[in-house]
Amino acid sequence: MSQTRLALVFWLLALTAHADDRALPRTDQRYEIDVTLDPASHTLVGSERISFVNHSQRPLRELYFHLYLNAFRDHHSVFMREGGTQLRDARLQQPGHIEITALHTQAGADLLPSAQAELVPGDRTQLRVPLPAPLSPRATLVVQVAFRAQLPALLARSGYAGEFHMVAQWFPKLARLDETSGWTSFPYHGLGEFYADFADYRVRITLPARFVVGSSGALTNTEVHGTLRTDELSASAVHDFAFAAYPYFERVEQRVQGVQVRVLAPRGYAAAAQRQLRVVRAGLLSLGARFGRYPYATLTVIIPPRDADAAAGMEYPTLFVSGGPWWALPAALPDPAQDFVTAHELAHQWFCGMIASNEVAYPMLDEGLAQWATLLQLRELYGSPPSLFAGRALPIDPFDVTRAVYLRRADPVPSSLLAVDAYRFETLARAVYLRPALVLDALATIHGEERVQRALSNYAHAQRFRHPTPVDLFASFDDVYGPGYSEQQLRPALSGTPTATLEPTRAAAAHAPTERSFFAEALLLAQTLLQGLGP
Amino acid sequence: MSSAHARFTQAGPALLLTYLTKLTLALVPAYQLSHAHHAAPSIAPSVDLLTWLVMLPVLQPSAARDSGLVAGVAMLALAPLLRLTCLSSMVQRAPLRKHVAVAATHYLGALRVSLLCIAYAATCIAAICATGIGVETALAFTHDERLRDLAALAACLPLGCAWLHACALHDVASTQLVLRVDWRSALRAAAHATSLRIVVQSTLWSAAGAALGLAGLLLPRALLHAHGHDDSTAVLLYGQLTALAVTLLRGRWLASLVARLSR
Ligand SMILES: [Zn+2]
Repeated sequence: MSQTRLALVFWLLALTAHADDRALPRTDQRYEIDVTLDPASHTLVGSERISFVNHSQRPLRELYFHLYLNAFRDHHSVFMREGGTQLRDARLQQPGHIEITALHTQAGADLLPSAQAELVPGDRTQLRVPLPAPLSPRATLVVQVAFRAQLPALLARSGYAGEFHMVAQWFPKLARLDETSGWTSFPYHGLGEFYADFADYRVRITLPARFVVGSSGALTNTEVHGTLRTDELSASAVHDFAFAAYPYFERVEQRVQGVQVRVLAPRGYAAAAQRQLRVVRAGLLSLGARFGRYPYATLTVIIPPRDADAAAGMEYPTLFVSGGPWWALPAALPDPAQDFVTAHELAHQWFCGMIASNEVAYPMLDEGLAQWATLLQLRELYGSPPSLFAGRALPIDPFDVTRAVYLRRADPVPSSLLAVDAYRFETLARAVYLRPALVLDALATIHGEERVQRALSNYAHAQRFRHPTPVDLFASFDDVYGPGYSEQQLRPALSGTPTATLEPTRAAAAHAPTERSFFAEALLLAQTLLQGLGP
Repeated sequence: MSSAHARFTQAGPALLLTYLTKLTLALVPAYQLSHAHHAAPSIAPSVDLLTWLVMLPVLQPSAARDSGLVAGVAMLALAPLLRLTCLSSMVQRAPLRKHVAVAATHYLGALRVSLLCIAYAATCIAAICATGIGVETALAFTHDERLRDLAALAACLPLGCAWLHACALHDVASTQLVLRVDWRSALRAAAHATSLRIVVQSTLWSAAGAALGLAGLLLPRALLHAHGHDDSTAVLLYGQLTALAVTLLRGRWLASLVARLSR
């Protein structure tokens, strides 16, 4: 083949790879939702048309809906019993709930009378709806739903604080329909997140015109009628839809690789919004290069006001809620505590946004991999090796901080491969977030950075817009490290087997101050502090 | 004899005693801090002191924290004694032993002076904080946290002034205590004598001491990073010279106060 033809082939390959990266898959589910938010009573009244295809191999005799706002109904829900409020340290001050007021098939069959609302005693976060006739594989069903919801006072990601509304887990949503095993439904777990099929959404939100809305997807139309406004939004190939509404949001936008990145922050937050925008920009480029480009047209970052801090640090498809104060350090200085949240929620756009693992059954697949990707982003942001006196560097490697937090307590850490309800609040972070990130870092130290990157890049590309399990992750590692590697090394390390060679250990030092010079410095520090007591 | 410098040199032994006491009290927490640093299995030992301090909430070296607290309480208990010893040796020439005895007789009075100065500062601070909270609340309608916080911060600016005034008042009252006998009259005279000029001077001397201490903490690390090697003897020597200089700086300020107030 001549040089020119070879070049042409590569160019075409690059072009198709590029196009493939940007392309959103076709989905077989569609939600069309019309909802009105009354910010005075914090209620939602809506109607919903869901059309979906039975993509499982068996006839469907029932539907499963998630009514997750009912987690905040009272103290008997699974969420409250499992201590879900601990995650964001809040109490159930004003309960929230959701009711389906009408449920019909398009043919007119009323499904509500036979629906079962309490699949777990005391918990109404799932609804089982028997179908009048089985739905054969590949057949389409359209259901019409009317619902009414009361948002709780903000706790655990959802609700209101003053005029700020974080509207998440707010509409009747189908559970995930697995191709082989059928419905995968579970109650809203205390420490757990979500799992659903990819779907297309068209959402019309009506609310007082003075409210600014930040949502999943893109704004396609706006109508103002009197004091009210209706925003029409659309999002394709996403597995959830959330929005925030607040009258005092200000907007900062930037285009990054064709993605319209929008930060919505309260008044006075301009510096913080700019800083977060910078982190998102760097992250989109870096994560995109590693795990495949971010394919959606928009990405919205919400910074909640101070009294709505319980909404902070949560990811939704094409939207995430960051956090932090109005002030921001200058760009030249590292601010790991703040940048961490932004980078972590951004990483979730890949690990659970596009690579949509079951967040309840395998929380490590989204949180552990997002944690690792976050620490990598921080390393890139601040430079390596760490040094206090080398420009905008962090004086310590982010993985070392993680290792310190992980090893700080001596009690055993349960396996990282368990489902969320197997963890207590105290063990979740170390098992699900920290250990996987440290094991991957240990792998990079032992076998080189490039191979870990390649294994995870392969995994991310192969599982894009799919619903992988740890088996798929292990397969990607075996492809790079050789057959059987995952079973012999990776799984024992993630399980916390004492003999595992990848357990987090002390990292090698570049140039270490000796204990004597450290003592000399500590002595001066103690003397200086004592001087402050005024002899 | 009236020059501040002469009084300062005369107090040499007392200042040395102060330096040595601080050094002794600092030894245990410093040892435990550096021991905890090297015992921590989790942090790369390349981490320097400042970074390590940032990590303290994570590492929680409880032994160092406890011994630090003990050293702090001991310092608080000994501070009036050391301060009065220095001041007394600036007032008249006598053996160190005699100045310690003078300081001991004034010990309870000095404690009272300190407590009253703290109470004065606490009252000012409480009143000013209440103003700040009031401003924050009054501006809630703006829904602008930056505006509210900055306005509240501006309303709290006198807080710093009150604190600096209390510090100056404390030094002047301590000086009056060795010049007079009764703590009440010392405090009354101090309230009269603590002029704006003295507050400014006290602030500048304290700032110079803090800057010197900070430079002592930062510079050796910066130099080590620049040269890529570690000379613990140099770091120790440099650190101790700094600690001594900070003590002397404080002594020089007290000497100028004694010179002025004994006129
Ligand atoms: Zn996360």
